[in-house]
Order: sequence, then C-alpha cells, then structure tokens
Amino acid sequence: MHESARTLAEAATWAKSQLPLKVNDDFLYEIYILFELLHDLKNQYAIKYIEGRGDTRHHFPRKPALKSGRPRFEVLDKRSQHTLWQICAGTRIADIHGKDRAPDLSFQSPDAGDAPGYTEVIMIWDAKYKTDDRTRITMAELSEFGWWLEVLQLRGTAKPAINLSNLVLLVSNCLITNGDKSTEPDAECLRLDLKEVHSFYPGKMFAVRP
Amino acid sequence: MNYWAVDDANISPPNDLTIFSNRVVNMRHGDEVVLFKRVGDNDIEFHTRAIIEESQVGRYEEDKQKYVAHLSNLRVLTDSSLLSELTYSLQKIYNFRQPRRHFLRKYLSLSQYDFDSITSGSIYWARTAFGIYINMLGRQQLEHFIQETAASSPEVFIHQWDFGLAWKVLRQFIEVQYIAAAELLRFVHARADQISGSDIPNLNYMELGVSTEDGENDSLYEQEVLLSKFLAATRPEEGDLLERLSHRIAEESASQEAFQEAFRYTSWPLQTIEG
Repeated sequence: MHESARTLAEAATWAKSQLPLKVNDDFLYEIYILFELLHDLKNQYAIKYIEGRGDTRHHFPRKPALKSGRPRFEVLDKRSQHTLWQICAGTRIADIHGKDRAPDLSFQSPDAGDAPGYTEVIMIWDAKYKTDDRTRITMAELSEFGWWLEVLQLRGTAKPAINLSNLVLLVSNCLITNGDKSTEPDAECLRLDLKEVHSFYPGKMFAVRP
Repeated sequence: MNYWAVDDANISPPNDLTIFSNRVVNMRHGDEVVLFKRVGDNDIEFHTRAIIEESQVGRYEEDKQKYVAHLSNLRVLTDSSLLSELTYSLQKIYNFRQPRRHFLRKYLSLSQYDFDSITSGSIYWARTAFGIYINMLGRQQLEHFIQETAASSPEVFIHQWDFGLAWKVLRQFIEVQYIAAAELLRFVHARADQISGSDIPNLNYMELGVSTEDGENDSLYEQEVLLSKFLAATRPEEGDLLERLSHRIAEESASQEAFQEAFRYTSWPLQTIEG
C-alpha cells in the first residue's frame, strides 16, 4: 500500500510543470480522440505531422492556444498527395465577430493559415470527459456547442467528404463523451446540426445520435 | 490502571526499568506497558508487553529523579507491530508526516484503545487506507479531491469520522482520475505507435506533450511512465490493491466498530501541508 501511494504521489502531478493531473480537464481525452481519428484516417489517406514553432512545437495545448506554435496534422490524398484537410487540436479560430473560439478538434481547409477565421473551418469536434461515465452531456454543454456552430457559421453547411471506417458516423459536428447522451430529443440535435457521440472510450462500443 | 509505551533502551535485563527524569514518573503498580525499539531511520517496533510490579522513586540529582520499576508477566507480542503500519490506528498520533516524533521520549502514556491496538496488532483499515493515500496527494490534488467530493458526496464532510465512506470516495477519485489517465495515455501511445513509422514517419510519440502558452512542456510519455508505475504497484498480477483494501474493510467491519467508536470525534488525518 505504501508503494502504491508513493507512486501515486509522483503520477498525480505533471512531471515538469508540477500542475495537478486532472483527467476531467478534457485535454487527455481530446488527444485520445485525435489519435483514434488519425488511426482511422490512415486507412484511406496519407497523413502528415506538421510541427508547430518554438518550444511548443510538439506540444498540444492545455488551454486555447495560437495555431502557429502547435503541432497539427494534414490529411492528404494518397495518389495526388494534395492536402485535403488540416486537423488542429485546441487552437483558436476567429468567429463571425472576430472573437476567438477554440474547439477541441477542428477540421480546417487545406489553405487555412496560422490565424484561421470561421470561413476556413469545415467541421468541429468537442470532447467532454465525464468522471462518472453514467453522467449525461448537459444542457449547458449542448447549447454552448450549438452556439459555437452558429458563431463559426457551421450550422447547415456541407460536411467534408471524409472517408472513415470505424468513425464513419462521426463526419459531422460532434460532441464526444465517454459518458451518456443528453436528454434532448434527436430533433434538437438535427436542428443544431450536431451529433452526440457517447460511450466513446477505449474498449467500449460507442454510439452516435441522431 | 494506566497504559504506557516505554523505550526498551531503559530496560536492564531481564526486567528492570530505570528512568532518570526531571518530571514525575507516574507509572504505578498494575499499569500495563508495551516496550518499543527504534528501527531504521523512521520507524519503531513494539515487541513486548508487561505489567509494572513494584516501583520506587528516589532523588538522583538536584532536579532529577530516578524511577525504578520491576516488570512482571513479560510477554513477547506474537505479531510485533511497526509504528508505520499502526500510524492511522492510534489515537495518539497527529503528526502523520513523522509519527515517530510522538515516541521520542523514554515513555509516554497511551489510551487503552491504543494499547490494545498495539498489543493485538490490529489496524483500522479504513482510516489507514484513507490516510496513506490522501497524504500522498499534493496540495492542489487535495483541493481537487475536496472540490469533487463536495459536489458529488457532501455527506463525507458531515460524517468525517466515517472512514469507510471516506475511503470509498477517495478510491473512486483515484480510479476515475489517475487510473483513467493511465489508460488513456497507454491507449494514445499504442495508437501513436500504430500510425507512426511508415504512415507518419516524422511523428514520434516520445516527443509529444502538453503545455500552456507560457508554461512548462509536459511529456506524455514521461507521465505515462509515472502512471504505469502507479498502475503496476496498484494493480499487480495478484489483484487490484484498492479492491483488496475495500474488501478487507468490508470483511472486518465488525472488528472495526471499536475503532469507529475510538475515532468518532476526530476529523481527517491530514498531514500538515506547507504553504
């Protein structure tokens, strides 16, 4: 017991920053979703890892960050080697008012620059980690995400023709959780133009609605 | 009748106890004592119990007295007990960082509860499990635990003496925070290995990390190693340690009732946190 507790003391703190490890900060879960996506994408596409700049070139943001300093991925057509989409994690996008939003994962157009605006974003995913996996997506989470879709003008727009295998149903604006779906009717998700992906966790069978 | 713990350095074989002290030594005929010795840098071992048979006090120096007692009925404890194992089962202890500091004196009084726990080697498992793990959480993790618990199980704070409940909540916190983080990172690593190499040649999991804009860069792999060590120590092949502790607490609930009574008016056994 002493050994287990001693190792906990070390593991519970991030080694360099000495910040407490909090799984419900979402960024670990967000990275997990990103790698699940990349793993699926590699079946059909070529993928490029693009380093960021400076000290954070290999580091995903804990909190909303500038795109330029952070790593991202490019999805390429295998034959032509043309970039089809960029995939960014936790970086900022200017909305219709010029205010920054930072969805957990954003699919951006191939020519989106270092300070992308809403017109360069095609689709977004947001991660909601629940410490109790019976917890539902809340009304607040659903409405905030729906509102982001509005200020990023992603509601009702054409979805990218991404050819996925296991994650084929996730080609949409998605709110992804290891917990349960919200209590809102499917019609509301359709109206907001989003999907809820629940029970998304290693070793579990996820479900998507609507 | 009173109960005492006595440093065995004051015993001259086979059974004479001599203490020079500038305090009044009030161990009396019929009192029970348990003898201890220092072990290593930080521990002590209780090994023998005895009864004070006869005692006398004489003046030694100006303000010191010489206390001499004869011990009878010496019995070596069948299970000698280490203080490090008994820390959270003794009412006497409040310095959880350095419990041996309570035993620096040549002798000290014990409650009957403490004497019985020491001589029978019985452990208050719920308080021990809770105490050992919670005192390994740093300041910020402790605050995080308190915030989460206040939101999800406020009854834990109302019944602070219910260490069975406190352990249940702490165990759950450890599992959903740290075991889940270990699982997620292991999975990310596995996926990264699957897609790096031929698919994404310049992707190297060992280099990946997380950071704030102005903060230090934390490595995913480094944290995964630390979490894996915790996982290996907590979920060894012979079974989940946290589960075994919970099982033991449930199994011994009847014998733990005396402990629950003894610690009824105490709060959480937190060690002092600097800052």
